[in-house]
Amino acid sequence: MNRKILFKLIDHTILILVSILITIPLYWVLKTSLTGENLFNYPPSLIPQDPHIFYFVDVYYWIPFVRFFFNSVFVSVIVVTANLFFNSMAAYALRYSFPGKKLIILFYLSMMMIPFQTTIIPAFLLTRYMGLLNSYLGLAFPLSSTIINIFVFKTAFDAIPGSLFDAAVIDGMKEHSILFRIYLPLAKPAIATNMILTFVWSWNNFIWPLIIISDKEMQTLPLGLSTFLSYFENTSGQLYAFVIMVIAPIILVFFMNQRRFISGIVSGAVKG
Amino acid sequence: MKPFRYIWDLIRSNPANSIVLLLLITSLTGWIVYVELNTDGIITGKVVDETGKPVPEARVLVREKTLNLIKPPIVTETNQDGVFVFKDMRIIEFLINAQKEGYEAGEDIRYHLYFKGQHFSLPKPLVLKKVRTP
Amino acid sequence: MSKVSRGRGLLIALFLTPSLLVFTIYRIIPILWNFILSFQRWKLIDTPRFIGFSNYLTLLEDPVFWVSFKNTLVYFFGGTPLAIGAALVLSLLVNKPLSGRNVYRALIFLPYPITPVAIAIIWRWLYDEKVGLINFVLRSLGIVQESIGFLSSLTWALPSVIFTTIWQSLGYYVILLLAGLQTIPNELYEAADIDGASGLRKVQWITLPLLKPSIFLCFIVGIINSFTTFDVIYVMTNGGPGNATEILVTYIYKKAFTFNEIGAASAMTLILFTFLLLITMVSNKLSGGEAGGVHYYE
Repeated sequence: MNRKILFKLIDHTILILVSILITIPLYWVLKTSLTGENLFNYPPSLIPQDPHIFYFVDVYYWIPFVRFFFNSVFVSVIVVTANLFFNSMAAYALRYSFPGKKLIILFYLSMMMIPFQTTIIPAFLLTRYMGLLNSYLGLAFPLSSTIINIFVFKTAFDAIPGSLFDAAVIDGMKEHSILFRIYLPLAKPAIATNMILTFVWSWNNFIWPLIIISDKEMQTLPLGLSTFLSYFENTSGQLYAFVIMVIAPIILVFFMNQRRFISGIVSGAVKG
Repeated sequence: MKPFRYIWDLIRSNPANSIVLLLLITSLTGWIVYVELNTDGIITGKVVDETGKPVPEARVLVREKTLNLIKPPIVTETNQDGVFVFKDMRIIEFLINAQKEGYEAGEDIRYHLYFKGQHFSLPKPLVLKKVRTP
Repeated sequence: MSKVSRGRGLLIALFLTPSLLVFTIYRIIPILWNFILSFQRWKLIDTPRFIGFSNYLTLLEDPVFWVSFKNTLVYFFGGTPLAIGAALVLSLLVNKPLSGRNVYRALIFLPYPITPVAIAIIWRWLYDEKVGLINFVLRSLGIVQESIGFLSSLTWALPSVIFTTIWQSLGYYVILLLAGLQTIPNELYEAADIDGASGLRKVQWITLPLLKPSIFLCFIVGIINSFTTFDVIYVMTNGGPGNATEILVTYIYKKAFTFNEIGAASAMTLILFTFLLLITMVSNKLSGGEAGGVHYYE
C-alpha cells in the first residue's frame, strides 16, 4: 500500500513539474504585459508589482490594432464558413458510390502529403495572376477546404442511418435540403470540430500572409506581431501586451471547446 | 449558424464557461460605458505654491509624448483660483509643467491616460516654488 | 447504396467541385508548376527562361543549402524522438486514474493551439542573455556562472529552437498517444494483473506493442512538422546566427521572396518535397502500413 502512495507521489511530481514548465512562460508574459518587469530589471519577482494596463493602451494607439483584429476575424469567418459548406458537401457526395470514388478518396488523402510550405512559390504566383494579393479572399482561399475536416464530416455522416435518407427521398426532399436540413443538424459535433480547427489554423496562419500581404492595412495579427517585433525589439512592454492580445482569443476558444478540439485532432490524425 | 443557441450550449456544457462569458461581457460593457461617460477631452488641475496657496496666471504647458517624439507644447493659464482647464485634448501620454515669473521652473510630471479624450483631473496639484531673493 | 442516376451524378460532381477546385489550385497546380519553375531562371521582373539542370547544380555547390539540409535533419532527429518519448511518458501518466488529471491534460495541450509567432516571441525573450528567465534560473541554481546567449551562440541556437518546438508540439503527441491508449482493451491488463505482472512489465509487454501504430503516426506527423516549421524559426532567429538555425523552408523563403531567385527556390522546394515523400513512405513501410491510416477508408 505504501508503495502505491509513493508511486502516486512520483506521478504527481512529474506532472506538476511539466505543468509548471508549460505555464511559466505564459504566466511570465502575462505578468510583464501588466508591469513591464523583467525587461530591464533584475532579479525578477514572481508576483506582479503595480500592475497597469498602459501597455495595452499603447498597443491600441501605436498600431492599427482594431484593423488588424478585424482582418484576422474577417479572414477567419470566411475560412470557417467556406470550410463548413465545402467540406460537408464533399463528405455528403462521398456517401454515394459512384465510379471513380476510390480515386477521389485517394486524391484527398494524398493531398495530406503535400504540406502547404512546399507550394508557396507557385501559390504566390497564382494568387498574383488572380489579382488576389493584399486581399481577404487571397488570404482565405488556400485554407477554404481542409482534408481532415472532410473526413470528420464523412465519419459523422456515415453514422447517420440510411433509412433516414430513404425516408427523406420518399418525402420528395431535394438533395441540398437533405444535407442542410437533416444531415448537418445531426452532425453538430462535426460542425463544432470543423469550426474550431479551422478557426485556430486561420488565426495562427503566418507564412501565407507574410508572402502575399505587403499593404500595411491588410496585415493579420500574427503578421502585425512580427512587424511590431522588428520595430520595437524585445525590451518594450508593449510587445508582450500585443502578444497577449493575439493569443487571448485562441486560449479562450480552446478552453471553451477543449473536448471538441481534442476529438477533432484525434479523428483527423487517426482516420485521415 | 445560431449564435445564441451555441452560446447557450456552451454554458450548459460547462459552468466555468458561463463565468468566463459573464466576466467578458461585463468587463467589455463596463469599459464601453466608462469610456462614453468620460470622453470630453478635458484635462484639468490646480497650481499652488509651497504653502498650498493657489497661483493665478501661471502658464501651464502640456506636451504630448508619442512613440518617438515629444510634440510642441499646448499652453493655457490658470484663473484666479489657480485652476487650469485644457479642452479638446486627444492624447494618451503627456508631460505637464507650470511656469510663472518669480517662481522656479516646475518639474515635468508624466501622466498616462487610458484612452484618447479621457476626462482627467490631476490627482496632485502642480507646485511652484518662489524664487528666493537674498 | 443506390445506383447513380444522371441527376444524382450531376449533384455529386457539383458537391465535390468546390473542395477539388481548392486543392487543385493550391496543391496540384503548384506542385506541377514548381517542377517547371525549378528548370527555369526567373527573377520575377524578367521573363522566365529554361536553363536545364543548372539550378540543381548550383544548389549542390551552395554550402548554405547543405547546412540547411543538415539542420533540417538535426531538427527532425534531435527533436522528434525526444518529444515523442516525453509524450509517451506523459500520456501514460495522464491515462492513469489520478486525481486532477483533466487539469494536467488541459495544461499539457494548452501550448498547441497558441499562435507560433507569439510563442517564438515569448521564448526569444526567455532565452535572452541579459533579462531572460532561463539564464536567471540557471545562474541562481549555480549551474552556470556566466549568462549564455542561447540564440546568439552557434552551438546553442539550434537546440534552443528545437526545445521551443518540442514545448509547443508535446501536447499534440500526447493527444495522439492518448487516443491510441483508449483502443487497448482493459481485459489485457486485468489478465496481466492475475498473472502478477508489475506495472513496468505491463507497459513493456502490452502497452508499447499495441501502441506501435500510434507511435508511428506520431513519427509521421513529426516528420512533416519538422520539415515544414517556419514561423518559430523565422521569428526567433531568422536562420541566424550565421546559418546555424537555417532550415530548408526558411532558406526557400529567403531565396524566393528576399532574393527573388524563383528557380533556385523551386528546385530546393522540389528536393524538400521528394525527400519528405521518401522518408514518409519508408517509415510507413517500416511500420507495416499501420501509420498512414490510408486503409481505413476502403
